[in-house]
Amino acid sequence: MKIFFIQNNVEGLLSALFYSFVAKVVPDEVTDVEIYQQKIDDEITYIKTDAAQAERVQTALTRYGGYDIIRRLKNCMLSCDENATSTAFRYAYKTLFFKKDISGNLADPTVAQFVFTEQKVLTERHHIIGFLRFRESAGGVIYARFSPDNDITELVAPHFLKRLSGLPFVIHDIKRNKIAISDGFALKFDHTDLPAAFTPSDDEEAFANLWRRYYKEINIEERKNLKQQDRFMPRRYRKFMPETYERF
Amino acid sequence: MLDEKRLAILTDAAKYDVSCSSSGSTRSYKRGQIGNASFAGICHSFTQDGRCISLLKILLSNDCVYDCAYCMNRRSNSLPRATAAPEEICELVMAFYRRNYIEGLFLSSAIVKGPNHTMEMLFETVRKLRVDYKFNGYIHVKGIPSADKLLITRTGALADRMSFNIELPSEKSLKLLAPQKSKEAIIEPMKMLALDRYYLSPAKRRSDFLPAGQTTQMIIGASPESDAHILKLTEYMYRNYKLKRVYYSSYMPTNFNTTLLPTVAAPKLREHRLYQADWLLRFYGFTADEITDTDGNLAEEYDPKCAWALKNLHLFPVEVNSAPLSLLLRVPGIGVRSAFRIRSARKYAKLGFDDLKRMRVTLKRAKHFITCGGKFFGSENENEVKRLLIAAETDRYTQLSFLSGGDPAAESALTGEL
Repeated sequence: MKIFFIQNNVEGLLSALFYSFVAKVVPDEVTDVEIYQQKIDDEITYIKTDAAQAERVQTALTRYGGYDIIRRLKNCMLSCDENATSTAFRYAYKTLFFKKDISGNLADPTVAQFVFTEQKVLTERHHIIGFLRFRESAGGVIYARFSPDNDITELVAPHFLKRLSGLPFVIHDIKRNKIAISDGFALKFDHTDLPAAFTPSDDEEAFANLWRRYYKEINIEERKNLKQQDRFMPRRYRKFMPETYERF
Repeated sequence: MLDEKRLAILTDAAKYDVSCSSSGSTRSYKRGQIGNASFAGICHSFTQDGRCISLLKILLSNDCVYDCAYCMNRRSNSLPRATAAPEEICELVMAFYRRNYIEGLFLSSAIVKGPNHTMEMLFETVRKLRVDYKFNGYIHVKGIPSADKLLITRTGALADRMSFNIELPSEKSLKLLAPQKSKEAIIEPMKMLALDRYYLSPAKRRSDFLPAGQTTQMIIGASPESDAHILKLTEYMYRNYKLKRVYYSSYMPTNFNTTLLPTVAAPKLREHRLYQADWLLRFYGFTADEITDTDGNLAEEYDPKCAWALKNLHLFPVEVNSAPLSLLLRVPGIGVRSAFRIRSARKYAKLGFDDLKRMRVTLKRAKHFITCGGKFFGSENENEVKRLLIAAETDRYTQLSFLSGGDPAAESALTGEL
């Protein structure tokens, strides 16, 4: 097996594509250094990220694969699927190889895998945008915790920057210890190992209780349909929501 | 701040309003304001009945002067009454919105004192929210029939969506069950808003006036109208009043002190079939006449598209590699998304059955109605197709274990024989 080790960002991926075309080597797998368990017959190439090379590949990709291909590759790489990087690589490779936009060709397994991997990430983003719950701290900053399957903090935070314009907020991915901080006007992403020290504002609990009551009352008991509720609101998200989790 | 008791009363009174969607409006961020709206809509939570909570759905007051037979809040019912001040609603919306509990407000009200007084209160609440609280999120306001036209238009200029509930599918039923409402009082403002929407933003593609348009709602099963009647009315309203949605709610007995209404709830399946038919009208290019049976109702055992296809078997099977989009959309089991996937993928290469599977096109029903490169994978016997379609619909088929044996009655129950 030919393995490419890359830095897990889109520049890393683009550099790998550059290397692959120049050296005429097609890898069986592309992966990032931290997580790979090496097997005995693996032939490993470490790809150095090179900004100039990456830019050349980016220009070509955008020309052949459509204006949003880089964004789509990024989305795919955020997936928790362990083959996500390889999937993105294969899709980009194929685009460059055929020199055309193949995104509509879902009958091709490479494309299908890429499109559905990306779709999964975007679906979770859409879920989280609805299910994320902020709490107001005594200092006025609002804070939300979540633990998504895919690494989507960077996809979620801009939505709230636009929506809550002027309000400072913190979004905390407790699974990856990633945080997005906004002062209301700009976004910053960071890592943190510290659990957040959080003091709720005076009326935080009161509003959470009002919301719980509302949630209870709006339900029509005669039409109970828990299966449908589970389908639309997966249980793994519920522990961060005040209406479904008392100790929120 | 609105106390919990009043919140409970006003929410409980609003829960039978079906509409809770926040879609259809693109409000982009404005400096100094809070909120935006996304075109696809965002669901923020789901209750145990499986419905989405997107908006804070609440009545301004449930203290009604009308006496509609089907309504829980009718004057002659004895139940706790409450009224909220506009200020209190605004405060609640802002607090919930900041915490990302909701996407916006759905404001309705019982008729307090009279239509104009109620509409004025609704307008005042929306005005306060938009102007004083600088709220730029989604707002859906219920229109009050017989209220002053100017009040309705001014509310429409601030809201994203307005809706006048048509309540019952015919004038006769309306007269019988809601004597204080008239057909004209509901239809006229709908017409007027459709015209306002057209004239107030003629040159632009996106409307500033009611960007998410109008909707309406009717109760199914409280009165004797057939599905065909309901669907024709729906079609008429989509065409002539440019409605975005028509909601159906199957009748549930909440008032027992009347002889005008049935005492049992209408079956939920009927509501489900009507929604399926409604989708066919809006997204699949069907007309109401095509999908209803000769007896005026929708088939119960399969969805309306299957029923239509079985009546028109001479049109099938269609070849996926060459059929036009409009015909692909008419294949049972192929939805809008699948149809578009097929159309774009077949430009690259000829599609086979396995390709469709890989593209995640659902073939359980579709395979009886399509060919892939001339090959047919379904069943040719019409009765067999019907049986398989019903099986696909009810999902009763369970893989039986070879060794399970045991009670033959239980087994035949599993296979759906019983």
